[in-house]
Amino acid sequence: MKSDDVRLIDLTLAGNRDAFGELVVRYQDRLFATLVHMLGSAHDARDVTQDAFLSAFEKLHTFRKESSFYSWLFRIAYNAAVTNRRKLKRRSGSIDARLADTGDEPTDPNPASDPTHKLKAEENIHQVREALERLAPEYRDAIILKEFEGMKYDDIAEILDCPVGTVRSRIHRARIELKEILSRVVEAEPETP
Amino acid sequence: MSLEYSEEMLSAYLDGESTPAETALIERLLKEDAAIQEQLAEFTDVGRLLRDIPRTPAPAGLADEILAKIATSTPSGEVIPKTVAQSGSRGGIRIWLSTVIAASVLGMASLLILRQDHVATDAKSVATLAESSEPPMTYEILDTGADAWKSGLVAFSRQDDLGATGSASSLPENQQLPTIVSLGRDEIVQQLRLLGDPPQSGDEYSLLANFDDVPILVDFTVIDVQKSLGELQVLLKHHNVEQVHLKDRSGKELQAPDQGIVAVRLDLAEPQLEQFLCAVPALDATLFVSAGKPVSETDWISAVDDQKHTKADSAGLGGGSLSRARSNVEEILTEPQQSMASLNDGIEAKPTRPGETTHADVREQKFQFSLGRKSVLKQQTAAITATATPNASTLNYSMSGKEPQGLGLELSEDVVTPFELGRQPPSPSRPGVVKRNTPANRFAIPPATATPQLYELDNRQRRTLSATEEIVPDRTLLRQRAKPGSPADKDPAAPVDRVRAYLILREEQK
Repeated sequence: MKSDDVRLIDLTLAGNRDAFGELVVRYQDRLFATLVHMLGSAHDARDVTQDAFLSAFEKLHTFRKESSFYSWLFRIAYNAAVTNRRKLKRRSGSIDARLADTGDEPTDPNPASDPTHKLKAEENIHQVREALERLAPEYRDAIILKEFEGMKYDDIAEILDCPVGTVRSRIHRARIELKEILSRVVEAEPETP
Repeated sequence: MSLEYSEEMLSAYLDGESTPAETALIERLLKEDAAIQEQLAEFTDVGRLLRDIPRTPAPAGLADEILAKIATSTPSGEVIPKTVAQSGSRGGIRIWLSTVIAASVLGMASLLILRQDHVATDAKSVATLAESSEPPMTYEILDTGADAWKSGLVAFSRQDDLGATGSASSLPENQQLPTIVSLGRDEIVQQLRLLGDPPQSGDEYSLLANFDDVPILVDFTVIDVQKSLGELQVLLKHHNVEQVHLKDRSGKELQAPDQGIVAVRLDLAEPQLEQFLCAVPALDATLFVSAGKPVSETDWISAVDDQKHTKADSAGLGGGSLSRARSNVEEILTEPQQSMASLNDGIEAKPTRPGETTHADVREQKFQFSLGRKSVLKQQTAAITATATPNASTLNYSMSGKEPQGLGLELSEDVVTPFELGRQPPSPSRPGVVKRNTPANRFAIPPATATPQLYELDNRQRRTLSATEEIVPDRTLLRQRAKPGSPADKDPAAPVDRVRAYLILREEQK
């Protein structure tokens, strides 16, 4: 666990709210970005992010410093996300509309690239997002935690509250399905002259 | 035993999560098998594509919003008293509940520890459940700051608003609001003990509370479960608190001291519903309504026993709970014929002329019926009146006196309405007790001003409300009641369709 996180937590517990504010600033982007992928909605992700930080603050005294603060925070957020997902069901509407709700514009890692390349890159991102959306939630959550959060299987298993073997299986299934979905997209695209 | 290659193994290898033996196998195969090399490259590409998706930064101002919201609470769960200026803001409830849950099915006992801190800011409640293998069940109040806590297992205080979400009615404005609400010790103990398995995020619980002698229903949702180092911490989110309105048979609202009837509305996922039903003492009747096909009287009678729930399930009305309710009704409905015969025997002087009325001595009647698998013997004392109809060909009987109060049930606002034995219901569209709960209103609390549509029970249905015995919980039976092949059957923790249940409870009048 980051020693600086420990310091901020200790300061927070001593009554310094600004210290918790530093933790919020430190982790809000990471948490929010992952939740957007999980929930498919920037609006829902914002609510869950806020709830997670509030809950984390209120139960901060129960936090055991053996694990990282972010892992602990993420567990809270994930459970809140599951509740959110369960309550709201999956919102209807097209995937495009859902993606529009992510509230971000695809960014090109190479701004100097030519417009054609940029369009192609954006299209690729769109297709990958769409493929991710099509995954069953249990597969999507597992692969997101792996690829976006870089978590170990043990940590993912704890968050998803399932055996490590299940995590391993879900990640594998997610990869297979993503590959198949993306392959179909490629096959369906007309040949470029 | 030789290790066999699988794609899943390759996926784990890519993540650095394969075992040493698997790693050795994969690396050997990668040197000699182009197909596996190709597969690994594809998995790698998928991961790269995912990681290439731009990360969406948190919205501007989110951190400020969070910090503003935590301004009135502390990280230890304590709440900073509101200032006058803040008192107009939304209040809420905080419960600190520390408990050890007994996994009764697993033979574990539990230690239940409750802890409560003062008023919260925004409808957040925290429960901490610490597992223990200590066999005896004991209770300890961790926070004895207020004497009121000692009397209740769980207590919470309120300031200016009990409704966290605004979806439920709060207590009347003109009622003097006590500052402490204590949930009944036994009720919560029973419920928590019944959990058996640790709570899951998303689980919802309804607890019947005694709000200064006014029954209320408190709903909670588990939003976080953290397990580490032998402890289980559960973060509960308070949903709503709503008053349960009770009326006596004359229509007069019951006051707390003489209140013997309690109505509870439950709106839970079925596993929790089952658990809660079995935790409720004095369960008189259970009526289930789903957004699907309405329950008809025929449906009720069609269920024969717990083992024959397939038909009930196939009606799309939920699983074992409904089956059990139908089973109860079916068995109870076999009783009225005996009852009438008993009544005839009890009339010593039958009227002989049209319009003549005679009264029988107060006598005792016994009814036996089944709740779940528990046989219940009910004794009641009643004065029996026989009145000859004008043509003297038939006799009408009525009972009065110490017989249990007849109950009717209004399904949209949890109002218990009086029922008078011997009087026919005022021609409802169907003389049943179940009103279709449409999807539109299924999860909505009707506005307080809505005029409830009341249904009364006929004599036969009334018999369903006569049991006053506590139901003995049996998780094994509950599991067996899950619809064969249903998600709940395969995985008890799996989410199932929600079912709304209305219970009529009666506490024994002392």
